[in-house]
Amino acid sequence: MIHIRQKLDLTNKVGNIIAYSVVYTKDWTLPLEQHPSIVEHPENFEIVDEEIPAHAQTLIYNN
Amino acid sequence: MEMYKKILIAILLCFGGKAIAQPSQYTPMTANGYQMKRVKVDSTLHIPSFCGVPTLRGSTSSMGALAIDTCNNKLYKYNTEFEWTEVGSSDFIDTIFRRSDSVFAKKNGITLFQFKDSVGGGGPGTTPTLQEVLTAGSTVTSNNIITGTTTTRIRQLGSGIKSASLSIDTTQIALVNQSTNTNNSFLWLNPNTAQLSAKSNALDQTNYVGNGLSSILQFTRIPSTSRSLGVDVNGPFMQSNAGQFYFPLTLGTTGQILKLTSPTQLAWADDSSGGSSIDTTSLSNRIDSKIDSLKRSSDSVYAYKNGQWNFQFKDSVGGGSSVANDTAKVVIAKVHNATGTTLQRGEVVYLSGANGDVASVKRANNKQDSTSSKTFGIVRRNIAAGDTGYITTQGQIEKLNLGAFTSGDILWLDSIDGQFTNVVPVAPYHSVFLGVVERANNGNGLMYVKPQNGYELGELHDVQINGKVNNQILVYSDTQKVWKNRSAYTVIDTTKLQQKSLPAYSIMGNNTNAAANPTAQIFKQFGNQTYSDSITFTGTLNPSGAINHSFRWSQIGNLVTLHLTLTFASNGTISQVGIEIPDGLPIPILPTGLIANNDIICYGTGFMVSTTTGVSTVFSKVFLRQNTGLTNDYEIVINQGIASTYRIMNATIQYFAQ
Repeated sequence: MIHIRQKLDLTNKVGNIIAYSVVYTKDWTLPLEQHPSIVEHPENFEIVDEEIPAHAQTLIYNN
Repeated sequence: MEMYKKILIAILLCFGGKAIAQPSQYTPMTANGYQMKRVKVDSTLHIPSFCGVPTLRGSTSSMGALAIDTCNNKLYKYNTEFEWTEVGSSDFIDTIFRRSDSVFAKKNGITLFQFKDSVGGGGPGTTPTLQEVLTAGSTVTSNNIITGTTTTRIRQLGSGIKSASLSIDTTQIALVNQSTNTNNSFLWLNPNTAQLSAKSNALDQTNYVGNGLSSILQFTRIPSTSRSLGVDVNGPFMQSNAGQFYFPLTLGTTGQILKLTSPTQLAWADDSSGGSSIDTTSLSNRIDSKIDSLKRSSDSVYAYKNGQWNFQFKDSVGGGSSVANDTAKVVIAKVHNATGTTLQRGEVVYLSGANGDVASVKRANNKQDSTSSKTFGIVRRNIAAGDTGYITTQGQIEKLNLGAFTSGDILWLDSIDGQFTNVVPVAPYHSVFLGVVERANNGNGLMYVKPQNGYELGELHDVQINGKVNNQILVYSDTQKVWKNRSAYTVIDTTKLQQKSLPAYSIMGNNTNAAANPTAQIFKQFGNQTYSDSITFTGTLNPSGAINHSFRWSQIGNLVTLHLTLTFASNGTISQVGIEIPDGLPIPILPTGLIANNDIICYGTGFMVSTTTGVSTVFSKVFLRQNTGLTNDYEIVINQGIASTYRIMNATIQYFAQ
């Protein structure tokens, strides 16, 4: 499933679970490339077409 | 007809008047040979004859009569007093006559004095001797004297001692009580040998036990032939044939004592030293504990030995002494061994009864009350089965096999018969304290004995136990003043203890406004758990990196308390976070009027910070709200107002569950 995710932060990865954040885009009708998170902070977010892992946390992007 | 009757009466009167008027007379019979019916008279008078005792006919019974029994050649006479009696019977004396003042009887040509008449004074006759009576054939059927050709016997056949007799003949005098003597034995004196013996058959000498000594007065036990005691009337001994025991009958000299001079003979001997007398020197040497002197001082008795006076005992006056040592050190008891085997030294015994005025004992063990509660003491010396001996009930006992123990060991009655152990018994074995090991040694062990029997609970004075069963407890009866065993369920008011066990996740409580039986209330408390439900941040960058999310919660009644912590390795830039209530938490109850989605149900406390030690300077708003977009429908929100960098979130909230 294609979605916008916050780029993975591998801090303290060893032995721990890494947070996986998905940008909330349910109400977004334009292409994901035009979503503010990608437009404003492409260094933090990326569009991927992967399965969203269970218990992923959500970000309601609101600047 | 009437005329005939008158004629007949006239005729009868004529005959009757003639018979009365005719005088009595005898008609002379001048010729020889007259015969009447049953009487003949000629040269002789033939009287009536019978075969056997005569009988009378007609009305002549008032007159005397004679008749002869021709069959038995006997002459009978008759009178009205004696009726028919034989003339000249041997039962009768021939004649009786009076001479001077005495009456004599004559029979068979012998005249015998019978008795004096009432005038008295006696006559030439004298009272007959016993011999005269016996010679005359006198017999007495009650207290009789019976003579025979070889034996004269005096015997009593009446009341009292019956069938007892004294028999005398030319060779012996026998005394016997035949009514009580079941084997017909009797005491027999041999006139020829002066021997007095007991025999088994009257006048039968075959069982006589001869001793070969003509001058022995011998007593023999009947029927056994192996026991007799004889006295040599001419010799110096009294002899027994059982073991050949001789006892001197001759007197010794002054000061002599009887001494066993041979295995079979006692003899008089001097009692001083030397010869066959007592060896008092060696006896004295053997008695090395003798004291030198005794004295009484004040109320006590002292003994002098080895130059020192030692207190012995108080006299009857009592009162004590400052140096007195009148305390018994060892208490012993004489007992009877009631077991079938020898009681060994050192075995533990208990009181089992009594025998022959002595207490009986058996081996004790701690397996049951009957063999332990009456533990008495320790055997001092071996006691053979059925014999008597001594045990120590308190004090020292020595020469025990105590090598397996250590000096100072406390000894208890063991489960093995008669044994003790240094291991304290554990119930149901009975704890009986026996004493302490004073010296641990095999063969020379020393133990201080002081048995102390334990008590069962039911043996206490104020406890009454009847029929013990499971789940009983002791309760006190104020009326009977004793503790008694009762079922716990009959004593406790189970209506106030509705359950012995509680449902899962519950406590008992009274959730009413009055006294009432408690009811089960919800009680849950969980430790730290990993949080893994939905988290939604609002901002421009989520906290990231390694996560460590946890929560814990509890519930008492309907009140739920939740404490939740989220930690990330890296800060995010956020203003709010929504945290779905964890799986398993009770569903909150919605306050009236706050039932719409996103309505805030209640507030809590919490914060968001960027470091573990930093203190938040921003007031955080924490609340619980309904969010039907979530799986669990409710979330906790921490709102900071403006976005900032945070990586740690913490919230505590209480709510009421449905």
